[in-house]
Amino acid sequence: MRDHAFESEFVAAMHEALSFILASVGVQNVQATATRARTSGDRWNEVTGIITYSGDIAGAVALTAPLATANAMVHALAGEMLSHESEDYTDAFGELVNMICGRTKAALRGENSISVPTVVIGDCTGRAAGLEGPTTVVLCESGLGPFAVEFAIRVRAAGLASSAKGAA
Amino acid sequence: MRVLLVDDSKVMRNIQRKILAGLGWEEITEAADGAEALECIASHAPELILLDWNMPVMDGLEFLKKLRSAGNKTPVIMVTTEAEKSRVITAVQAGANNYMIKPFTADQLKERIEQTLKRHAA
Repeated sequence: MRDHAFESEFVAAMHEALSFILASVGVQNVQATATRARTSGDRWNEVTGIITYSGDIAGAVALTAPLATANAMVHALAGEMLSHESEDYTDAFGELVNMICGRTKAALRGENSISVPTVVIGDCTGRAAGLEGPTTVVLCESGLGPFAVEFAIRVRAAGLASSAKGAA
Repeated sequence: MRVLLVDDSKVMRNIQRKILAGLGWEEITEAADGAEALECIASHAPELILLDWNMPVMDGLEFLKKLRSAGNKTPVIMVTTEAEKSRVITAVQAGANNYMIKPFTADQLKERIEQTLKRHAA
């Protein structure tokens, strides 16, 4: 069952984490421009980093960006231009996703763990990303270009469902 | 100063290596997970370990527990995205000497290293 209060909490935590982590590598003006449910017509960007959550919540988060945005993000972290065909590129993009998801996790209630990141270059699918069930898409703009965060998270611990931070 | 960097991200190891080089420490060994790190301990005898938490094969916490249970007292700084207070407590209880949350600046890491070594020497 979807928990809209928890989803709001998750989006707020994710947005704060995105802004903080990207600012730390010099990326300014990160803004969430729209939040909506994923539709079957939505396409994936060229570079997608995925992390799964387990514990009191379960599911997956994907940071998906067009190649130009992803290139700039990787450059910002690694301090050098890397080919998207190199292992270092997927390593750097995955590390960004790791830092963002780690910071998001710390802002949530409950005991949760995150996986090591997986990075897909090229076509991705919801199944490959571990996004099963209703998926929320947060469209973002940044100083480096557009990107999106997609997540399908469900609350497993009964105590969390009604006590999400900011819930009425 | 012999330093062991343990992180599954080569990019993060490179960032840390550059910071350490700026401090004049260039005798650096790298490991991509806890199991590799354990193999490095005997041959490298590090004087400081910078340790990630979430890694494949063997994570940082398991490595730390094995290191301490073997009687090794090398100072360890956890360098991780695990930012919850409960995780910091868990790491310290397992034998971590200090804790650094990613991302960090060069100055922050330098300060944490100096603080750790000073405490360890006292």
